[in-house]
Amino acid sequence: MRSPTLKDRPRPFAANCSRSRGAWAAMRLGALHLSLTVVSVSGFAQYPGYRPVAHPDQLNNELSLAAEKITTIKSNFTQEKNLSMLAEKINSEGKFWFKRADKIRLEYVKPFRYLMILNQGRMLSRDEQKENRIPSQANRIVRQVNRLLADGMQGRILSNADFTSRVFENEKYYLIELSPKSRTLGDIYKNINIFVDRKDFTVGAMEMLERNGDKTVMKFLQKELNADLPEELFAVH
Amino acid sequence: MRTYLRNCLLFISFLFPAACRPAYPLLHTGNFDRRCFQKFVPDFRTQWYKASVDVGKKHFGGLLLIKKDSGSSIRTVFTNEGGATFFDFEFGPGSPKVNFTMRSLNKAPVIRTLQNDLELILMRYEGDPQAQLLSDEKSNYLKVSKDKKTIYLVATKDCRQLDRIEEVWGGKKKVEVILKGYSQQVPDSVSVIHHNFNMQIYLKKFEQ
Repeated sequence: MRSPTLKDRPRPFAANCSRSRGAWAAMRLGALHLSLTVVSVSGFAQYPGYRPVAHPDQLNNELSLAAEKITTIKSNFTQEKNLSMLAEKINSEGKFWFKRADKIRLEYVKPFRYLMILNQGRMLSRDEQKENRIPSQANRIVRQVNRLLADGMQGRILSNADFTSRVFENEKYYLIELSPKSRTLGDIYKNINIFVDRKDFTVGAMEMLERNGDKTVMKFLQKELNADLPEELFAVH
Repeated sequence: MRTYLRNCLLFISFLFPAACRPAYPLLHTGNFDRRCFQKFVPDFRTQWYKASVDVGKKHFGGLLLIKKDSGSSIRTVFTNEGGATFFDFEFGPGSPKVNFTMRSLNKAPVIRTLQNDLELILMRYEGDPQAQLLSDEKSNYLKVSKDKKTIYLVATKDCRQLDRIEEVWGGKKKVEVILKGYSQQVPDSVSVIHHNFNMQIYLKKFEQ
């Protein structure tokens, strides 16, 4: 006697329902369609209100063209760090300056003072205790964040080879989700999300999501474009 | 004459070798209330410190959060100014627990050193039932022996001020911690000085 196989397994409805083979195929197709839809929706369900950008290459060109018109940026910033496990957060604020091509000055003024200047591969940091000058090339994390900031300001963010990217949009922002490829940043950050303002294609906010669940959001406010910024602001000597 | 003087100095130095001196040779049983030290145990509920660290010729900064959990444990989280978390340690009734540490810091000697420094800052040794109360002419001491090390909490004779906390190995001072400017049982600044290698940590309290 033949032992029962999978084919012999009673199908739901099969014995007492008159559904045809075609109806079964349609149901399977429906289930497959539903599961594919769930997978594709879950890809950006983490960003409510955002939808995927149909042509990221086109956006890349638009970002580059817009950035060519920007030589300097001066703005205030706020930073909120959320410690997920402790339900604790710390807010800080300061001033930000950018000068083409890769000069950045970030000055925290509240609730502590801290200055960081990045200028063509060199870095200066100063806290209330000490000043530190190091070639930023020596610090891979600083170098990659430096490049990310500079790329963001110059519309080259989608060309940054250190990250894989996905792009979403809503009425106000393009959301560029960057996933680090290297272990240096990837060990700390799961994603770094850049919010590009649709009005002027400048970076409106940066969200850094850490592997331990912590999150830091930096918002750039009261942006002033193409102001005359003296070189001394970016001096690292 | 110079040769004679040099020989004399050499002879004296052989008679009194500095390395053989114990850390505190003249301590005797202290006749003071143990509460002398209890009042200096920091009562960290939620406190942020701006941290400044020097290791060798390198200097870096960050933020240290010390927070008392709902239970009896204390969490210490260190982040850099930009927000990235470096480590998250938990100090409960048993051994310190590592909740998170950045890969580059995830090395046993590094974690041991950081946890040890934080245990000194939190004054976790103060409640040790085996602690000895000792004194000399100038100071009161609470001595706790643990494994091969000895911890000394040193306060002024009148118990008005905590001078320092010391960790001693084989009679030699290895780590010194100074807590200053207490307000509501929370120090305003903390210095940690390592004497066996070049590392110093300075913490300055800040409010949000």
